[in-house]
Amino acid sequence: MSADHTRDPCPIVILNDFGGAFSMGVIGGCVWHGIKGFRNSPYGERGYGAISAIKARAPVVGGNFGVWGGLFSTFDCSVKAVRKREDAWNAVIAGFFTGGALAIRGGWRHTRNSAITCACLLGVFEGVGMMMQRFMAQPTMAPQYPDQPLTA
Amino acid sequence: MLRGSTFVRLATNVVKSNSRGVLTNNIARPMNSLKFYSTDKNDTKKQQQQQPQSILNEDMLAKAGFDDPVEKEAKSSESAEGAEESDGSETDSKSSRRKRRAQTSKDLQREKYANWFYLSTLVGGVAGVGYMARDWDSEEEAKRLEASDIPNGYSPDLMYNRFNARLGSLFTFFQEPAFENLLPPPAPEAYRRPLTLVLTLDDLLIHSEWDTKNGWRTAKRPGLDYFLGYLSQYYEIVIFGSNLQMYSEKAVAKLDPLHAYVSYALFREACRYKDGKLIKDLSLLNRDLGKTILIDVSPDSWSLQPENAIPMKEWDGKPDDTLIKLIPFLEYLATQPVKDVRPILNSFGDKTDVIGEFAKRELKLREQWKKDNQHLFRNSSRPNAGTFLASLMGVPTSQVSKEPKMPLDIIREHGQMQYEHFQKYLKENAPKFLEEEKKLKDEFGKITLNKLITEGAPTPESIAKAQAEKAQDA
Repeated sequence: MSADHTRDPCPIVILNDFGGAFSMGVIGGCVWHGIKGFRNSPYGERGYGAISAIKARAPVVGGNFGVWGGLFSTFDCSVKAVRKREDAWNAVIAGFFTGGALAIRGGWRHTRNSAITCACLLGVFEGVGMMMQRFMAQPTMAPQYPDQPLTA
Repeated sequence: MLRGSTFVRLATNVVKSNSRGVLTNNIARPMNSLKFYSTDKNDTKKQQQQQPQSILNEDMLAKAGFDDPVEKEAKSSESAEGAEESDGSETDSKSSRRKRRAQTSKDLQREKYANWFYLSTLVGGVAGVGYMARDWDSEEEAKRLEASDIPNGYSPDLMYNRFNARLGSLFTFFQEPAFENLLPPPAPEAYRRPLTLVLTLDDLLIHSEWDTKNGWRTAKRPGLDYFLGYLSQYYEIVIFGSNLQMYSEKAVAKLDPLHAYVSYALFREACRYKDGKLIKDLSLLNRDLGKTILIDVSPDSWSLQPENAIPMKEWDGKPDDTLIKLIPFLEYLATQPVKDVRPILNSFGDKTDVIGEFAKRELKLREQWKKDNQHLFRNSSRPNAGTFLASLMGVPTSQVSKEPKMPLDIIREHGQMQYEHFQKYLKENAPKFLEEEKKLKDEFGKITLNKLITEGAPTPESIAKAQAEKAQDA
């Protein structure tokens, strides 16, 4: 039973997350590499430079984001299935594995550092999210009762 | 590597020949030549010193993967010397190569910063642990952390225990309910209903399902409207969901659009989270525990007050009439002068089949009552003046001579009548209520970002205040 009805349940949400992260990366990559390409081109070629930079680089950024998102979602689902709990630790653990998995080609030290960094980052995100949630939560208020009860 | 070193050598040759060329062709460049003549030897030296900095300095070469020829020679001689010790020298050369790779000035700087970072993290961590293991600041702190049994003192285990207690308190901040009192104090006497009924939302009142065709769909349990509408006259109904407010509040709003049935709605924010269990702590409800009933589907929810709970099976979305069947028992509880519901609930044993058990008891009660009040039945079946007159007029006797009613049935009839009245009242006034709510939403729903940042979101208090002022004006 999932609480959030804006998201699909577990195995399918991986696909959603992959796509979402990919498109996020592509859009961000367009902005980033558009500006970069524009600035790195000579006058007169700036528009063309921006577009060619976007064409060459934005899909790569999208792919990177997508891989991260998909991997994270996969680990998140796995952790949920194993722990059978839904709390903030899921994201932290999933972040740990994601950071580690993406850095595994860099060797043991790199894998470890990257995993810890990623877990810390997600821990901070989750912590801030929970703080916000508590901050936004408001105590329930009593309704205003008229002094004299209504007589039916 | 080989190509790289020759390239370097070539480059140095070029620079050297160039310096020589400058010396020979100094007449062609008189501006420079003056200086050159005056400080001939020094200048060549300087230029030799400068030459690695010219274009291909060590940093760039190292970055490009080229070895310094001098060092390479030294290494080769070294390896020749240590050729006998085969394995050790190989790993040594490997590590030394890696080390040399990291020897650009930028890398050195980075390494330095990293070391500072590690050091400060270590120092900070040790200091933090020490600070958290300190003596209790006051008696209250120890009491607050439920660690009064850990005395002050600096033996390792005491320090560790204090550290543990303080560390745990950092996390319990997130696990405790957000508020001390989950509900405002009970309503004034005139509005108060005898008991409080706490219902969970998911899989008791509604059920959500997902499939590939339709996505998420939420079903209302059969008889839910009647259940809420009927019991709201006896109970202060509180919906206490296990999901977050942002996911569940819309469902609650749809169940009770006129705010007529559900007094309050609480969500996961109000739960206690401990050891992976989501606990609904009824003692925080600000209500008499003897007059509170919790109906839930998860054993974790009532683990603190099992005696207040009526456990139910999770509803799977199929047609059923459990809610309707549950009404007689709850109605009975609320209409009897009950001081404490807990002994009554506990008389049902493990409470797995409260409905069936109560039906059995009710039947027994009925038989007993019939036996005790036989004279009433005798009277009713006997023909009297009323039935005689009715038969004369041609009215069926069943309408005149009603069977005597058990008090339970009288209460039920009364309840149903009231329910119908209330429904009629709601139906007549629904447009008015909805309009009022919309007005309220228009007034407080329009929150600009500026206002949100400078003043914060409107609290329920301010809304209630404004509402009260408005009511006074009108």
